[in-house]
Amino acid sequence: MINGVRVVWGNWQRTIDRYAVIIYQAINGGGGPSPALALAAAGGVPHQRAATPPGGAPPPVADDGFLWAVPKYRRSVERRMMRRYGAESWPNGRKLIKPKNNLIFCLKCGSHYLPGMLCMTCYNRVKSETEELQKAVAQQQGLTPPDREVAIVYRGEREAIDDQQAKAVRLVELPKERPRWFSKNLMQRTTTPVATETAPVKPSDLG
Amino acid sequence: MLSARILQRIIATNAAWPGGITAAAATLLPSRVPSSVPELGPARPAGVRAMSFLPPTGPRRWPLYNEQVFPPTGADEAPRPAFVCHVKTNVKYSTKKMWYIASMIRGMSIEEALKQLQFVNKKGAQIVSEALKEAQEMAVRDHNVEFKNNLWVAESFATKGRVLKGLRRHARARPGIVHYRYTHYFVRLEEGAPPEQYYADAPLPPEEMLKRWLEQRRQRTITHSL
Repeated sequence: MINGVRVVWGNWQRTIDRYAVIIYQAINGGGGPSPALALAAAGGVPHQRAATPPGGAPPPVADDGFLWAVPKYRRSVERRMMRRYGAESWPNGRKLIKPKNNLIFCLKCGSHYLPGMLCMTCYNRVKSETEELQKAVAQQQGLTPPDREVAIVYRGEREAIDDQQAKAVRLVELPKERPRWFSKNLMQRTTTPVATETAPVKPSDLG
Repeated sequence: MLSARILQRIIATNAAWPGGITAAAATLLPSRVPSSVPELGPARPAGVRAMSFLPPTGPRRWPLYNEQVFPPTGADEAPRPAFVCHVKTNVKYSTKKMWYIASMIRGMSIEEALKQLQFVNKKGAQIVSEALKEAQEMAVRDHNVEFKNNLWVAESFATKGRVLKGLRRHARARPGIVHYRYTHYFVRLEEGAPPEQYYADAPLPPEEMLKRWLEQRRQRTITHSL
């Protein structure tokens, strides 16, 4: 339909051009190329015009596009709001913030955390304690090169280490009490005794 | 100054005490304005329009809802739940962004809301969390709420605060305007358990929908019949 309107407008423009040549020449006393030639170039008077325009379709003029891409209908307020703010149904609630239903409860501290991640309160607690230890070690080390392992002892644990052991390591003493969650035993893989004698066990109750 | 409408409402609730407020009952009324009414900022003088260089004013009516003193409910009436209204004014955040967070927590219990806001990766989540915690504290301290977790978010919305405008430069020396947006965040907590559905037009469960459909079908009659 837009193409049809364009053709109508183009034809109207060309009609104007055709008769403008005649009028111009009449005013100026027959100067310039003959009207017939001019009319032929412009397409001739209507009864001389060929059924199809010569040289294919004429190129569009700048004014031809007065119906270029414009909105045809007013956007309703529902559509506007849906586009800007979103809704559960459109587009699938992606724009809205949905509450999470897969949060896990940390048994050690009682706060929630996402699956596949660490509990943030526990992590931050460990992180702050680690930073404190690192600061104490760095302070004691100073600018001397690290040549020995570092052993960290909290309040009340120095007595458990004998002097020979203490010389072999760099001992860092902290005046605070050991946190309850910080086990002394970090290197032992298991507390259950390793079985020495093993025998193959056949599963029972298999039909 | 108090708006005339809000003042009338407060007076009306106070005057609705049957038989007037007796001397004995008056001893139970708060003798001081509860500290939950925040220090209201300077009121803009009449006839002065808001300008960016003047200090920002904020909403003044929301905290006044806390000042209402209701008469005791009758034996046959449902108990009136306690509520607290709180506002955080002139927060440096955009209202459009705050809307998403405010609308998420509507109708949630305060515990659930605080839990969910921990996992929302937006600046507004922090602001709303703080507002909720402040409101919770106010409710327990000033508004006779027994258990601080027995609250739910009855109203939660954000409005536009002062917008300051600045200039920036685009390519080819073209100017651009930068909007520094502020927002006010409002929340009302009510005592009790949250409702099953917050919005009236929430989708019903399938059993309920079937029941309604059947009822509609059974109510059909033949027109102009006996």
